[in-house]
Amino acid sequence: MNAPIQHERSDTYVRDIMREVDDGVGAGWVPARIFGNERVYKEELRRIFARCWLYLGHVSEIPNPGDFMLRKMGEDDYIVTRDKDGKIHAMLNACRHRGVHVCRVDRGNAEQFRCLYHGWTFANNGDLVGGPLWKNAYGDMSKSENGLLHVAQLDTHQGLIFATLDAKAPSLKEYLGGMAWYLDLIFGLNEHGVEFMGPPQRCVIPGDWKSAADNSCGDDYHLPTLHKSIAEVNAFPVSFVENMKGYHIQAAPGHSLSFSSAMTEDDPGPRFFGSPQNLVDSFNTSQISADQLHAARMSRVIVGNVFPNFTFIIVPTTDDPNQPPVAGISLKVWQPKGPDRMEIWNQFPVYKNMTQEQKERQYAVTLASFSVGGLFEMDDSEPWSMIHQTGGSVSAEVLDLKLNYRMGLPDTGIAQRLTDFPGPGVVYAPRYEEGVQRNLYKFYADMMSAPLDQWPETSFPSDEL
Amino acid sequence: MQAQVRIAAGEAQQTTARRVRSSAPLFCEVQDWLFDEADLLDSMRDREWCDTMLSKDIVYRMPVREVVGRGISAGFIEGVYHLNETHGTINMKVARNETGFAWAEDPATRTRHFVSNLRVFEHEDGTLEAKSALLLVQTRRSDTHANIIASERHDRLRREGETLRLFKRDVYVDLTALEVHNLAVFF
Repeated sequence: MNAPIQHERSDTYVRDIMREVDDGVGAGWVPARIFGNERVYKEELRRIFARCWLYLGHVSEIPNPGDFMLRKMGEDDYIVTRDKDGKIHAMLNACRHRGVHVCRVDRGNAEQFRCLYHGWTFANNGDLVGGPLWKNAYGDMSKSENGLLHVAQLDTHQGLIFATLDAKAPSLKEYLGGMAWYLDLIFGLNEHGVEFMGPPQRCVIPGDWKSAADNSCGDDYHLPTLHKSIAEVNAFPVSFVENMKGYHIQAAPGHSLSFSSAMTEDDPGPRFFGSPQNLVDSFNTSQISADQLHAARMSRVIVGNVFPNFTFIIVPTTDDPNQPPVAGISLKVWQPKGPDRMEIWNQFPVYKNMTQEQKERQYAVTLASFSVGGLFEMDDSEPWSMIHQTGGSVSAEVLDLKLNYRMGLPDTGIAQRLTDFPGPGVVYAPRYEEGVQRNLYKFYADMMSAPLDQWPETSFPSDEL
Repeated sequence: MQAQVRIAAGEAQQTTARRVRSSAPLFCEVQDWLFDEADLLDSMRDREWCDTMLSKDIVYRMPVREVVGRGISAGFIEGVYHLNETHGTINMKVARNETGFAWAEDPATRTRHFVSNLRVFEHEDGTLEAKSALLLVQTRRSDTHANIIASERHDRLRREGETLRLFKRDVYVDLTALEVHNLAVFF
């Protein structure tokens, strides 16, 4: 793997790059040196991953008191637990005595976590219980001040667990803003909700995490080229041109998504992403509005990214031309692992009221499409493995390489702003448009530039809506 | 969650299979088969591999592994996979490589399948079981860094006509998080 070249940096180095992003992104220009850049990356860990709400998992993964799972916030390990009262906690995996990991397995059920170094022992709600020969060693030293460190805020939305290390961060509801409407449209299609087909599939691939997040905001234009092989082997039931119909949505600052959608009843399907008919029959408005249900019904594909690194994708696909396409659902976290690497955490939700056979079929199809061994995703990692090399190059700096994100600007292409779409956010159609990515980088620059005790706007000014 | 941690690779299985010693001609036949297979896979002849070495009802899987406490299990999870393939899906990947647009493997990566630690068993129904260690070394473009994936393969072979064909393969990887560009090659 090519290590990014280290340059001497002034204190204002990253700030200057972010000003350049902020100044240029509205007109569709993003400096390449935000990718594969060690200095930028270190600031991202502090200014984005230690402040934004990050996805940790789903409540169904820790259903019982004592259940726990190790998850990541940025590069750091957090123990996500359900305590004896059923409350969910997320705590830094570090003993308060010497900083040793108190949990060294990926998941399980435990009332306590005991540090292997000196034996300090913590309850699954983080409270320090004690240690060997405690009275001799510590007398009456406060235990309550020496518990595991909790995240600053933890909340759930549709069973999805999010946390932030920033006590001053806006609430999860406020942070998600308009994106909640679209998450509900996926996870609230019926009253049963979803469960996951196992713990995450984890793979470390070369690439800057932003390249994957960028793609997941709605880079539909890459399909006919990068994924041309998919059409050749009949894995995807929608023609690439037809697939450009639909909507690009900036749901809230930083959060973007894209629907491939039938625009009228006469347009071809599949409807509801290709979900099986008996599942479709259970979809209703008990959790969501008629507008949300209608948007889901017309949709063939949905892909989106909750800033910074949580992606959802639903695509009708098949792993075998003799089998009909079905909706494959994948949730991904693009975990940062350096300016040149990311760790993909891939999970597979299924609706609880599907038959076991349908759950396994959907899982198999999704795995065969949207995992590193999948027909779609195996090609995605190829461009992502090169962008950070370009961004981290001396040439990108000396020649001032700016990447082109201009598609869909008023003078560029056919996409038009829609004002009658029922969902929240800034909406464009058709999908020849990169405002979804400009929205990612605008908020990215805002977070990277904001003082650590201040938050940028997490909703669009009303005059833009 | 349905998935539960179960005991898998490297642990004693209850079987009535008979050990085939390395001095036996049958052992040599299985070893030759594995080496021939490695040669096909390492020389980009995946179509020939798919058509001549795989059974139509093949189940080809790479389970996901977790870190678990010693004594609980090896960490493989029943029903949770990196790869879960059939003949149809393998054929689709092979066909994909023939389209001219399979960028993950074009330019093709260079692979070397090192197969060792072979043990062969014969089941009562005449099918064969081969357990081997696989070291897959993969390089790409001009990179000097190789991806190295160590695993234990549990293969099931049976005679179809004159030749042995693979009808089941479980690839038990050492890593819990795979360091790869993708999983576009076969193990």
